[in-house]
Amino acid sequence: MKLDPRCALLLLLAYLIALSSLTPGHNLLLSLMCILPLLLLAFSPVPRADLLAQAAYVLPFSFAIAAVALLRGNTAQAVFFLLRSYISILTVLIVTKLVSTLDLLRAMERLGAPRFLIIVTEFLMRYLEVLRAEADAMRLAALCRGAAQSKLIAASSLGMLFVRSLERSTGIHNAMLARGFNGRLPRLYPMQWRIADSFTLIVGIAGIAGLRWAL
Amino acid sequence: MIRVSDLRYQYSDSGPVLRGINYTQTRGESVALLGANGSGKTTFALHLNGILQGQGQIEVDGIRVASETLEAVRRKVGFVFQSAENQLFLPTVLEDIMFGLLNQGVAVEEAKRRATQMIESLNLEAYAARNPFHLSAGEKRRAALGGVLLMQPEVLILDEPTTFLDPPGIRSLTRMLNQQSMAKIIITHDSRFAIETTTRAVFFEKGQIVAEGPTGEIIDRFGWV
Repeated sequence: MKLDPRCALLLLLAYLIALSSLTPGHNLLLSLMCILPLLLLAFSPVPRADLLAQAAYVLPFSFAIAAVALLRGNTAQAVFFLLRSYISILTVLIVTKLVSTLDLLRAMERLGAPRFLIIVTEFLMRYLEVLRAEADAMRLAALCRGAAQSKLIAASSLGMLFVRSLERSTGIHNAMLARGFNGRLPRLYPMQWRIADSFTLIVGIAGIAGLRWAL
Repeated sequence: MIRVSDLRYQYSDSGPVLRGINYTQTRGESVALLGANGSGKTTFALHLNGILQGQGQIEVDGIRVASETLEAVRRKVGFVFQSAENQLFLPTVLEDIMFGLLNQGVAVEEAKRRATQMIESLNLEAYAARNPFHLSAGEKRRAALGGVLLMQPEVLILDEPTTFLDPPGIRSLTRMLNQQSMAKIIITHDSRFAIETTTRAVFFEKGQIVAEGPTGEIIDRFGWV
């Protein structure tokens, strides 16, 4: 049975709030909370190694905070910061693999996030592939004309990519208007909240809250 | 069906693009817009759908094109853009073809039924659930056309529809267009395609219509082969 994306999103939020409320010293609690995403990772059909590697991208950023703790000689605190940020990102990545990002965006919309923000994000995601194709075409054209892979060329290409993207976005907008677009993207598959979603949400939030505050 | 009087337009960063266009088109008539790049063909066509609004008067089927009539006008005038990729932006071919119908307020199930029929008639059944970006140029063109045809417009505008199409793709498109009974405006540099799909041509030069007549005659007169 597939969870309603709103249920998945609310559970994710509850988990992240509980995780972010942990302070250095809650080492046992942090370890226990790490078990939840690791169980999810172990028993879900997701590319485990990829996700574990991708989550590590956050480490250089959180290392800035951890470095302060290290300078103060508090190694345990530094490890705590690194582990908490790593687990947070890992959980988000797992959820975005289990629930499509478009579904999560729609869930956010249904939960009251600004529609304009959702539409902009949707378009950004849909056209990442087109942007990548434009960038590849430009890179190939530059290489065919003997360009070296210099930073100067990369910088000027980036500017041109923005110009081409603007041109393309104008074209897309015109094509949408021509087909009667009124500022609202039609939803093909309406979400259906079932009793099972309510049950999962209640049990999930109770479990997370119990783990965080009752232990 | 279409009546345009003294249409003038200028982009903010250029000189006049349209310099007093007068144009009429009857119901069901197919017209080719010919002329050099930058002569104003596409700019003119964008006015018929209300995407651009210049000075002058435009009427489509008795409705004056203005901000308050855009919804009604866009139900009557379908526009297939030169870049099919710009037109196809939803995650699947099926959803994209349904887009116009859903904007018209057609219920999802009904829109899906009609879109499925259209997809079958376009021989795109195998691609219905696929991302439009992964189609070939000809398939993208057919999908873009299908999304507009499904809205059953009374005027169909096609901007450079043969771009990126191979000869079989052009033949297929020609057949498909000739089966449609609505009025058509076809912007093209492909003289053979123009002759096979239209009966009349107008020739644009520097933002003005400088000649009009039977498509073959206009092509011969301007050596547009």
